[in-house]
This record gives sequence, C-alpha cells and structure tokens, in this order.
Amino acid sequence: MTQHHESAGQHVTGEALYVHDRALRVPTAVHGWPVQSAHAHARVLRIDARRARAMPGVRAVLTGEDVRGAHRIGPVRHDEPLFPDEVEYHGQPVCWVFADSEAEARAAAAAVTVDYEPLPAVLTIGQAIEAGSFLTDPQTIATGDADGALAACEYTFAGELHIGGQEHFYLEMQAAFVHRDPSGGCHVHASTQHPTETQQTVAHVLGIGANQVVCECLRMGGAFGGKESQANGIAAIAALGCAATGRPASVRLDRPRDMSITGKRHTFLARYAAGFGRDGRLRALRVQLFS
Amino acid sequence: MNDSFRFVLNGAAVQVDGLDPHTTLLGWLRARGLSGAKESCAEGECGACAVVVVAAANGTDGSRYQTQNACLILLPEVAGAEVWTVEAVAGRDGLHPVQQALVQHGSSQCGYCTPGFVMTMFAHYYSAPRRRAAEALAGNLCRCTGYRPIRDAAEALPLPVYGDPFLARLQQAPPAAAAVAYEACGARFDRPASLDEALALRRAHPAATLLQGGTDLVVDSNLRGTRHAHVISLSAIESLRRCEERDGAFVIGAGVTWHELEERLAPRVPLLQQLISLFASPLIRARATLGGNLMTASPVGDAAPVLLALDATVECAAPGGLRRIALHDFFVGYRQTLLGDDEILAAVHVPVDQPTAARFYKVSKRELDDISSVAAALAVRLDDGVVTRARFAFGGVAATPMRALAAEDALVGRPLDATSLADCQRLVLAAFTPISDVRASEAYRSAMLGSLLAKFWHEVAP
Repeated sequence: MTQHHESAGQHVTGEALYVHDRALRVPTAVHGWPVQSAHAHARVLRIDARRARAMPGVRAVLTGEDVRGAHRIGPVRHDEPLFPDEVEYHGQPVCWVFADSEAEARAAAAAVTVDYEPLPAVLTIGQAIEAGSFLTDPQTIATGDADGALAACEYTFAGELHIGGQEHFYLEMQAAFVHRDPSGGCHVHASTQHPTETQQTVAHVLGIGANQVVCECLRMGGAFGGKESQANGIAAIAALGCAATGRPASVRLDRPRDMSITGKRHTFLARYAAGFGRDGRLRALRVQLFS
Repeated sequence: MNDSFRFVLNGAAVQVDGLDPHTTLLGWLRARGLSGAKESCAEGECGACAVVVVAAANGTDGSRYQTQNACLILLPEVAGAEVWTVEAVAGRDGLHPVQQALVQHGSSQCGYCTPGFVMTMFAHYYSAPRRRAAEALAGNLCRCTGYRPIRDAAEALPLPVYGDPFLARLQQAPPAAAAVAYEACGARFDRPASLDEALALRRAHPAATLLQGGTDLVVDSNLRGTRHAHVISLSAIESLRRCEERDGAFVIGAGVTWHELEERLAPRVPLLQQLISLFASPLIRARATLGGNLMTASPVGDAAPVLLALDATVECAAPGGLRRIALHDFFVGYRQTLLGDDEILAAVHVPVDQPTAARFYKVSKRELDDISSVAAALAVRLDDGVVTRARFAFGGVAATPMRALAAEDALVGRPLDATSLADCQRLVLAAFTPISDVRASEAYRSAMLGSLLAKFWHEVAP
C-alpha cells in the first residue's frame, strides 16, 4: 500500500484524540449524566432535584427552565423536546446532572426523583396500525394500476415481512464537549456527522446567533448514520451545562445510556401482495411499509 | 490500612493516593491523559480498553505480556504490577513493528479500536509460540474495517529482534503480587497474601465481597453503578493458583485463570478444552478464574455443566479446616451455593480418569464471546459399545446448572442407538422447565435439549 490513512500514525500511537479524550484533559470540566424516564409514555408532573443538588461535586441540575432558546430540536420537524413534559419512550432523558466528575453526576442522577403520570403506550407497529397512531401521513409511490394487474395475474403471493431494528453501534459513543470561547461565544467539540446542524442546534437552544457558535469535529469513532442528527441533542445539553455552570462541559453517553437514549435504524413491517405469471415474471406488487 | 499504593506504568513507578477503590484502571488512565485506551462497552467485550500486564510465563521463570481489559480491573488490583499502555509502545526511533504493520495494511478507518488492537497484537508479537492470529484477536471488535486488514497485519508480523528491550524484559520474573490493605473514599480493598489471612478477613467482615478476576463483578459495577463497601481480593494468594495432580484427581486452585487452565490442564481434560475455546475472549480468560465462574453461580455459567459432567467436587476452606462437596450438591438455588459465610472456595477436584467420550455444546446467538442460551456437557463411559456411566449436565434450562439424572440412569447398560436416544430425549425434556427470556424462548430451549442429545449420539456412537 502506498497511500496510508491520513491519521494512521496517530491511530496506532493513541495520539488521535476523540471528543471525550479532549474533555478529560481539562481539569475544570464538569460532566453530565442523564435522568432517564422509567415509562414508555407518561406526563412529567414534577422533578425533585433537591437531594441531588446537595450531593458532592454537583454543579447544576438542568431542566427545561434552563433553556432560553428553542426547547425542541430535530432536523426537519423540530419535534424532539430536550426536556420533555411528556416522555415518549422508555429511557428518554428528562433532566441532566452536571458534576465535577462523571461518578458524582451519576450518583446524583440516581437521587433525582421524578413524578410521572403514566399514559397508555403503543409499543409495536401492529398496535400502532390498529390504533391508527401514526406520526406522519402516508407517502404513496405508484406507477401503473397495481390492483388491476394483481387481479389479472395467474398467481398471487401475499405475506408479511418483519425487519428488526438495528443499533448503529459506533464504537465511540455520543460525546460533546463545550467551552466558552474567549470572545464570549460557544466552542463545541462534537462527534457529529453534521457539524453545521450541530452548530445551528446549539445556537437555537442557547438563543444566540449561529455566528457565536463554532462547531468542530476533528474525527468520530464511527457513526454509521447514528450521529447524523442525534449528536445535536448531546451537544445542546453540553452547551447548556457550560452556560449553567460557567465551566467547560462534557457529555458522553456510556454504552447502556447510548443504546437506550438514541434512536436506531427503525424496525419495519412490510405487508405485500405480488402477482406473477406462469413464466415466473413479476407483474404487480403492492407493498405497505410501516416503520 | 493505608490510602496509597504503587505500581509500574510504562516503565516508571507511579503512586496512587486516596482514590476510590471502585476506580477502574481504564478510568484512571484516561483521567491522567493516557486516553489511548478507550471505553466502548465497559463490560469486557470490545477490547477497546486493552492494556498489557507483565505476567508469569508458563513453565519458565520468566515473564510474558498479557492483554487484559482495563475496564474490568479495579485500580488497587494493579498494586505492584507492571502495566503497559499504547502510549509507550512506539520507541524513540519510530513506530513499533506492530504499529507499522497496522499502518501499512490500512488496518484503521475511524481509529477508535486501533489502540486496543495494538496492545493485543503487542502481546501476540512477543508470545512464543504464537496462536493463530484470528484467535489472538478474538477479543477485539472493529466496526469499520471488516477485520481483514487487521488480520492481515497480525499475520504479517515479523519475529521480535534481538536487542528489543521489550523482549529482554521477559527474561526476568514477573513482579510479585503484593499484599494490599487500602482504604479511601469510604471503601476498603484488601488483597491478602495467604489463604489464612483471607479467611481471617472474611470472618471479621462477613459482608465483604470476595473478588477473583473481577470479570463479572466489575461489569456489574460499571453498568449498574454498584458499590461495595469492602472488597477482599483473592488474586495474590499463591496457593489458590496451583494446578496439581494428586490422589487420582486434578486439583485446580480457585484462582487459576482460564488461560492458565488452558495451558496447564486442558490437554489432559478434553471436555475442558472444548469449553475454553468458547469461553469469553482471550482478554477475559487472562483474568477470569474457574473459582469465580462457579461462585457467580449463574444458571448460564459455562464451567458448571462441564464440571458436573466430570463429577467434580469443590473444596471449601474455613478457619477450622477444609470440606469437600460434590458439585452436584453445591448449587442450591438461583445464584446460591452451599459456601458458608466464613468459607472461601479453595479448589476444584476433577477426577483424572476421563469419560470415554464427552462433548460440550454451547448454543448462543454469537459463536464467540456470548452468554449461553443453552449449554450442554454430555459424557459417557463405554465398555464394548455399552454405556456404563452417563452424565448429562445443562446450563440455561433451570435456576441452577443441573444434571438430568433420570436420563443418565436410563442409559446405563444400553448402547447409543435410536431407541436409547428417544428415551433419553423424553426424560431430559421432562427434567427441565426452561423459561423464555431475552436470549431464547422456552420452546427453543426445549428443542435444543433434544437436538443436543441427538448431536451427541451422532458424534459419539461407534
């Protein structure tokens, strides 16, 4: 091989730095840990962080009240609340603890009590179809007359195909590290596939101009699509932690947190009917695809 | 009792003062800026945290480099040890041959797994003889490259050259495992140097947690934040690390690691050899112990079915003396054993006389490095084609590892044929009521019981 990876020499010596590696080099940094919902669907009635705030090393417990700018993020529909009033999945973060060390933040997060009003949860695609519970209007892609062609086919074959979801399993979990820039703006190190969107999100959430946010991504330890937009929320939380404490703020998810908080390549259900002739050629196909 | 200890890191002495004993070696390294070792799973499956420890060589007075998961090592465990990280592998003159090979072969894309592979390959480079590269790398995951360029690099490694200081170090003995009596941040960590001291500590502190390799306990601590007010590590007790042949039995100390077991004993116990190749990963086997696996007493722990099939007995030490218990009687409930509150598991006795034919089958979602859905250790003594003794031991189909006694009895005096198979399958199915859980359904487990017996008959019947 004549052409080596640009960073190969740094990979093999451990010199290549990833976001959390940078954060650990800043002794004044605070570290964030989430408080996660115990319910798949519930209203958040009350968050009691008094005990947590009194615990060693705790510098801030962030709730929706700490957000000056946009409360909802999300690339297209802006329908992802950072601090939900109504949790919509088991494990969804409802608030975040920042402390001098990750261990202290984690211990304090366990001391936060949240009162929920559990609501009915639709947990499978089948249940959602039955309940007519959809997040979008269906899109139709059609050509020709599928029904007519199916009816005219000598053979038809129908069935259902279930495709399980897939975790991206980037080896480096979600991580962001935010510190104040000497000019008063915000410097974000994020493991993100879309630094511009991360910059925009941080600016929106903080309620400041995008020109006051610099987003830097030197490298990621894998992403595979899982950091296309999901890195934004992590960076926003780190930015809020920095604003609330006045210190550089690190948020990195460990593997169980990452797998339970971030979305996956979704589960799919396909219901199909195919028509074909004696020659084995496919003549018609009708597919309903749910995800 | 003191609040500091020392060890040798990358060739230089370091002292640790006043840190919480729950701190892992990985966490400590990264907090000091030695961030080459990464966290990716915190449960010993991905190898991104791999570091190298200087350990005893097998059969000589010298040492060897051994790769271990830093995420599963509680910091006080490295007291007195010599630890190497990726930051110290390259020399003044440039990259180490292992690093060069990885660069040359395009073995990294995102690079996150790379330091872990460097350390695994570092130990592999200096090991003699070398295993197959794919086996040596089995405890490291990569999500980007598809593994081939990494494997190619490992297979292309040259031999160490004379004058290599890393090679020279291996001529001397490894560091001795020092006794530790450490307390900080409201938690205590003792590592006694003798079994008597350990028993005295246990009697004085019956609520303290006993620790061997830590490959289960520290997973729990990492993922669930479990804290132990007092840990008693048994890893420095030399008498627990012996492997001897005595009175017609192999006597395996409870502190013998799976790696040591593989080198010293497995060739004499074929059923154990079959298990070891499927047991976790090389990095885990460097730390995990036979005793620890038995004392975790998980219904899906793999050591128990194998040892049950071999009619093993366990030796429990108490201040008053030793007692022997048949493993068959040892598990009394879900994760519960007969070990007394003042006792420590000292050894496992396995009869030297082996069954005529034995198989260990592990049914799991992944071929390697996975927890069993169902495990079976099946053994028979045959005399002229007729079974004189049978042992059918299973994991994953009851609250404890368990033998199917009625099926064993029914086979005695019969050949391994279609009729005896059908009878035994029926009896095995009746003996267990497996549950459905994340790993497998009840129906699948029941189906496996029958299939594994059939597989055994097919492989073993003369």
